[in-house]
Amino acid sequence: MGNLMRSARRSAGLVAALLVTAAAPLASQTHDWFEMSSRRQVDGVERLDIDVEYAVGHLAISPAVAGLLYQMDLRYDANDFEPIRTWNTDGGLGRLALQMKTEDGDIEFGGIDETDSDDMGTLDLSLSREIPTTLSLGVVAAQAKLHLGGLALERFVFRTGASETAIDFDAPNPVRMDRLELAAGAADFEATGLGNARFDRFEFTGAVGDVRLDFTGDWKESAEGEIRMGLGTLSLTFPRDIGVRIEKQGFLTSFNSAGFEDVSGGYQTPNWETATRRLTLKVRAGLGDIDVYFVD
Amino acid sequence: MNQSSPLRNEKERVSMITRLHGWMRAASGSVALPRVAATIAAAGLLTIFAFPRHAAAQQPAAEATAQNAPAVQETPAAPEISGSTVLISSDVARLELDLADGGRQTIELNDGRVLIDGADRGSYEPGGAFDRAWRELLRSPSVDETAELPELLADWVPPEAVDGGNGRSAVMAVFDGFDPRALAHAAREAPGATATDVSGRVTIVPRAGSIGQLASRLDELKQALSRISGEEFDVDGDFALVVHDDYRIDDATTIDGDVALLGGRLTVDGEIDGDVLVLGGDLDLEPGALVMGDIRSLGGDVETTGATVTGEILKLSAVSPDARSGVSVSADADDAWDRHDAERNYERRVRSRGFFGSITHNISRSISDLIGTAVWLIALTLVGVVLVYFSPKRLNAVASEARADVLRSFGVGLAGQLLFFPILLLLVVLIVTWLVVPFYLLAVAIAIPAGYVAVARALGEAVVDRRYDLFERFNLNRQNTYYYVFNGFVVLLAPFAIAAVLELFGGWLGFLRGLTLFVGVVLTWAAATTGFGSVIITRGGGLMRDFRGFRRKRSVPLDDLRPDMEQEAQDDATGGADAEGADDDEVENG
Repeated sequence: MGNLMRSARRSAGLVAALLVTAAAPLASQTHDWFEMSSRRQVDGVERLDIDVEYAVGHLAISPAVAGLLYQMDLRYDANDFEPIRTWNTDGGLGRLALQMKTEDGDIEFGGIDETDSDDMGTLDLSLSREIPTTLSLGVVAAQAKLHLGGLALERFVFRTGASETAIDFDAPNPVRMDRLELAAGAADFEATGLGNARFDRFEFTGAVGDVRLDFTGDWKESAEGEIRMGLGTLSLTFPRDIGVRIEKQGFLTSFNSAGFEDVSGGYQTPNWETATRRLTLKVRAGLGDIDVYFVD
Repeated sequence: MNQSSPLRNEKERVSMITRLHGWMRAASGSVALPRVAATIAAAGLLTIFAFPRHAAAQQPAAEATAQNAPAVQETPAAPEISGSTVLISSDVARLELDLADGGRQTIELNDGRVLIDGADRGSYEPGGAFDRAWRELLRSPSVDETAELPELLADWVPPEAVDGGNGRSAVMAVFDGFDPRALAHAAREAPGATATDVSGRVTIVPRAGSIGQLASRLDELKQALSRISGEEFDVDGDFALVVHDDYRIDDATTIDGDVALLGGRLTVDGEIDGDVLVLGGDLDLEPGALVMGDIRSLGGDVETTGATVTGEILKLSAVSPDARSGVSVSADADDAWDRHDAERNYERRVRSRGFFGSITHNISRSISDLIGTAVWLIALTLVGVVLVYFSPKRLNAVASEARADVLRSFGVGLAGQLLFFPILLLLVVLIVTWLVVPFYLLAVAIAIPAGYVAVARALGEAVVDRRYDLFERFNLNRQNTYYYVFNGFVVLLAPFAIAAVLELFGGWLGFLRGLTLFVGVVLTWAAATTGFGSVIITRGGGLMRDFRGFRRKRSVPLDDLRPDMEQEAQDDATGGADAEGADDDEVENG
């Protein structure tokens, strides 16, 4: 009888352990969704500095309606994150910062596939077209759609760990951008209309992935840039009306040089000498290939 | 705004203050409320009940200045009851109180509505617990004792309004006003507060019976604030205006200070020189309105189109688990994004990812799949090893059957699979056979994987017999049952391994990979089916095919049978032996 009781207790304990083990993931999947909307009218702000550190979810940026300095609509799971938002002004400069704080300071995510799920947080940020803005975005893992056409961006810095990112400048930047800096870890990355960004200097750093950089747009000034690529395919698209010079480093990388002339230290388009606007790119690639396209 | 509501007794209001103090203490005791909650507790809500409703309701807001605001007595006294009248009918239960100052107070439950001095103050369930308690009170002889009546009414505690009516609190509030003990307590709790904090303030008195709602809203406030800990609500000082009902600030009015909206709709045409805190209700800023501060909304609705707000407009609300964020920046932006997405999707269709662009993704997926296949190989081999170790003869018998007559075993296995559910249904329907159901399920659950292992064993043996160079190279051509099982699983899982390797090439060989996976799945199913059939034919390995194709109880070691089976195989190859014919003649010994 004693053995039977011991056996029964063991069995009950095993079953309980199994139930707890099975229930634990279910319990951890509960959500506590909150929506936070913060907006501010222009009201005396002459320049805007925005620093956003976003964690996991869907991120979108677009122009705001007239008269609005910014609008930030955030949907987040209060079980995982706590939005820390700060605002201060210094003369005509307004500084906005958003950080998604976690309980232990670390952000856990199960891979980029999770960003395809509807069960994710969102951040929709809209910015004034009129106010010159310095925008810095850090994203851990997100599906990002950054619609930056027409925004008055003096500087744009975007860093992402693993994400599917689409950046679009579909309208010219009304102000000159001193630096456009993009960095992606493992990502499917696409930036189009970069000519409209009106940058002085362009920097892209990519570790692994499929990267498409489209430099078409309304080029008003010459610029230079540097692209550092680890592993993957880099597709570059240029408008034919600007002069392009590429200085490539990395012998393991294939380069489709059609449309370029092989010159000392790199490749350049035939119109380089006569072009009124020029783009000089240093490309350092590890392993992969570089495809170049020209559009009229 | 309900302007038809009658005045409420001033002492009754002070009694409510006493209650609110209790709520505030309870609220701040459980969670450390920020200043905003304390502000509401200490001044704002106190202010609400400290003013007669008609003062704000009947005067334009612009006129409700410090000079015009009525003063509040610091030491209130309970009204003296000089007489009472009770009226009870099937629909109505009314108490009329004659006051010493010549006034009269009427509390009436009438066909589901609670009427205080004729004004509708809430609902109750006719015939419900509250209705019954009320009628019982009115029938009490003590009601006729005028001297004891104030304490009797104040001590009366009707049942909670579990029936959903909200008139109970209205009646309770009225009765509290007659309690001199409560009034004295209120005077101790807030000495002079009502006189100093509310002077020069504009207030809107909430409807009677809304105190419970207010307490509930404070709970919501606590929760919301705890969600956004770290937020600093810069609501300084007292509230200049506390709104708990529909109200309008016209364009000639400037509110000099912070405003709290607790319910109803606050329409602003004029100017607010301070922050606005919305805990509920709708804040509607008309075009031309000006707010010189922040707007914080916790659960409320804020409309600011055309108005000027110098500070931040912050909204925080909890959403249901199923709700998706519907927030959008603007219609134009949405349209632009729709177009952008469409163009981008089109571009994706015409562009290929490319080999190198996906190589790391492909490598990781390929390695992951290969590891998965290896894990399956190890796991299945371990199962096979266990079976070989504990029941070699039965396993060999099933394997021999599968190898000797694949088609027959497959057919029997397929029939067994098709008949699985009908037999199960039969066992369930025939009540007597219920006890067999668990054994039936267990037998099938064991038979299918055991048969699969047996087929792997047979397949591995066949491979070894072929003496492939590849197996020779890795020294896998050993005449050993364990090796047979391992080799068999290598063959059965090979399509999955090949598919994993093909993953390296991504889209280029996607079709071939899919085809290979399909072959692997079909092969696995065919092997499991064949093994299942062999298990059935051999009665779980209890019968063994002998050299003549007959079955007998397994008693002959497999090695002794091997020459016979090899001979049989040679006969098959030369057409000298007809296995099907042999099976037709099969007999069971014993």
